[in-house]
Amino acid sequence: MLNNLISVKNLKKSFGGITAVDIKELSFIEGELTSVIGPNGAGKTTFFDLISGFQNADSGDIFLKEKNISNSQPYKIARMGMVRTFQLTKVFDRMTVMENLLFSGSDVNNDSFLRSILKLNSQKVYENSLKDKANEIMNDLNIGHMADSYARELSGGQKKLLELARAIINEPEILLLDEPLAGVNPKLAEDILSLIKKLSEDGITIVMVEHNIEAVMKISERVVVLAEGSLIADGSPNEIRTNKNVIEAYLGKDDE
Amino acid sequence: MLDQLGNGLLLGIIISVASVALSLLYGVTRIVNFAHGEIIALGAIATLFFSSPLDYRVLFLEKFSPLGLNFAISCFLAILVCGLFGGLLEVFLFRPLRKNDVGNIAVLVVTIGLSILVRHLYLLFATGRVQNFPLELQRRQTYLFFDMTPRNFNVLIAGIIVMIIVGLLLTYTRLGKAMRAVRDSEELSSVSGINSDNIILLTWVASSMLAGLAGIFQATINDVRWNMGFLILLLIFAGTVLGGIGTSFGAMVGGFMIGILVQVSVGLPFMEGHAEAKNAVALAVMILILLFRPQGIFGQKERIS
Repeated sequence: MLNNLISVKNLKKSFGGITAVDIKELSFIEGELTSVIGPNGAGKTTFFDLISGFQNADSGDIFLKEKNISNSQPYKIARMGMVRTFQLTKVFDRMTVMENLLFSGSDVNNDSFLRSILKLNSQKVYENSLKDKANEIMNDLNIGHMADSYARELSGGQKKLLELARAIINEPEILLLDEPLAGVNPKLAEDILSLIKKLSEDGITIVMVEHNIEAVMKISERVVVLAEGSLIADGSPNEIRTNKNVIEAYLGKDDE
Repeated sequence: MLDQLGNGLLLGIIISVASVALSLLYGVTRIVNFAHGEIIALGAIATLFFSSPLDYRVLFLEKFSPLGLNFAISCFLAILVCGLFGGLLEVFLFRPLRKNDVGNIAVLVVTIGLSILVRHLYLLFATGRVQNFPLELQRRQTYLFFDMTPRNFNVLIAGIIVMIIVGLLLTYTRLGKAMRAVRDSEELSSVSGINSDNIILLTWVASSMLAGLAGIFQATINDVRWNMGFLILLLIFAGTVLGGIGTSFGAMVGGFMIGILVQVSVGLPFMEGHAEAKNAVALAVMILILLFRPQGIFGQKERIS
């Protein structure tokens, strides 16, 4: 049997009288690149918020690596190796691009006050290796020349790249990407897509919410469709393309 | 005017330490804490309580005798008390407010209410009498070109050392970096594995301890009053804004500038006989500087996109 990294059971969340998420069973398999699509208001971002701990479900269970994380706080989930990005790009505004990466990439145990003041040899080695790693990632993403700029000075697209760089410097096992292509020009979108593809080939499990259907169909191994909070389809891109429920959800029912 | 410089430096160190504390808290939590003055007063009142001789009646309750401890130990304990008070405020008041998404303005009004409540508890508990720490009187000496007592000179040096240490801690430790991270985005910090609730708690404790220290400085240089923190609160806000909101280094320099401006303005020719209006000059200068540099002296403009 394939290894389920994340699975949810009977997950429910509503706001007032409106059901945002109501999923009986859904699992994400290790190493797979899965996209979650659906019309506006389908509950995709709420679903992300639930599995990353930013919102608590009304009922149901969420398992990460077979551990129940339904009531875990976001930082604990992040420490378990699941890192997310946000629909509205977030970066540490008042740190430089390099500082953003060093902060996210540094290990608590290797970052004590005494060590950074005394500059022990082991500390130097550690800091240099982290810097090398950050440089490598920045160059891969074409933001190397911005290393010493403050993150708030970046353009929208560059912030997206920084967010991705920040997310991968920690070598997460699972990446949750919330609309990685939103508001990005076509050329950059191509670059981001090939990066996502490469990360997936490197073995990172990726779950992505994205509105750009064409892009989704091109790179996903599996597509999950939500509508009004419920799971309405789950399959390969080709299966989804021809699925009647999906066409109805996007285009409305053909009554006449 | 120059003879006021020593006084200016002393007021400056009080405002400066208090501004760093206020700015640290605002920087991380976005709370404009009007009860900051009461934490300052707590530092002084607690020190008075711990250090006064046993037969003193510094407090409202006749049967409640002070502890008569060594003065340095008293200061240390008082700073701990302030840290504890700040921590309790966060855990039992501000954290629940934050979890319930209470807006910034509502939280600001809560801090105003808290300030009034706590200040009047002091009035009940510590009385309205002006009191002094149990320290012997000292004669002024000349240091470089300004005069002050040796004790006050030590206060000045201690304050500068504390601020350098705070600056180093904020710049180089994981905690300092995490504070800056939480300031920029609480959510993003969580994603980076930072327990932001803990960081905010530690910020409250650190800010309150610094405020308590500022109160001890103020009481050592001047005296202990129930409303001593409230009296300088506006100057602290001015120092914070002048330096650039949310920057610790800016708060240090801004606090000093305000302190010096206030005292030096006493010596201006047109101020003769109007010493009570000394704050006006400092605040006028602050407004002028902000007209030309809206982000404060060390604040940075932000890209909005």
